[in-house]
Amino acid sequence: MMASLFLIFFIAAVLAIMHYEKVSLSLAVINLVLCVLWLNYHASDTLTILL
Amino acid sequence: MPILFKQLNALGLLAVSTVMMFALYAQFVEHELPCPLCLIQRLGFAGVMLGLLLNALYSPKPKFYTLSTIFAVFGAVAALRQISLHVIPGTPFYGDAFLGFHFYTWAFICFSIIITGLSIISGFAKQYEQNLGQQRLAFKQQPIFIKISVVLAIFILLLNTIITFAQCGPNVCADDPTTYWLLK
Repeated sequence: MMASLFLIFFIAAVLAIMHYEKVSLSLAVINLVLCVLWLNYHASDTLTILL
Repeated sequence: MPILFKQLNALGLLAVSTVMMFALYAQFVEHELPCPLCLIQRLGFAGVMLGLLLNALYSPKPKFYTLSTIFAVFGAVAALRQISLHVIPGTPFYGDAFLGFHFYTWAFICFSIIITGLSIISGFAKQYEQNLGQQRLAFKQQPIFIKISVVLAIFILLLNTIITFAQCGPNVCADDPTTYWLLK
């Protein structure tokens, strides 16, 4: 599952080379949300600490 | 002026790629499998790399700096969370120490340096001046230094995808991994 997050970064980087700037940036933002969810899953009280 | 900042971003990209390569070295040569929180910190570095890569390929833009900074803060939070797990006396550490600090502590230091660096470099307004000739260069026309740093970064992202899949597979990663999912 976590490999898919790296895969999204890889795809976003390749798309950046191909000048799909907005798609690349959108993928990065989606990935940020997924990363935060994963962090919350593996350290369930992290968001509680932050908030 | 934007070309100078493109090169600076490429230099930053190379520096973060070096950090990721060191993590891969520790994994393959010293056989230290990363825990889920370690992988999340690597994701933070990968996000920083993507923002720097966009700045290096196109002309620097505030939104790309913001992307890198947010991922650096995200990585720092993950690193700080792991430090807090191991800082209590009597609790076991995770992995070996390097120059007196464990990798998660080094990750926090690196993210702090990245946040500071991005805050400083993003403050120079001249880099945002529109230069259409520089903004939409094809990859082949980019300076060689930018090409090398971008290709290296993409290779590292691909390598991380493959080895993370090899370690965790389609499942949730083990808290204290001892072997690769593919080798079971």
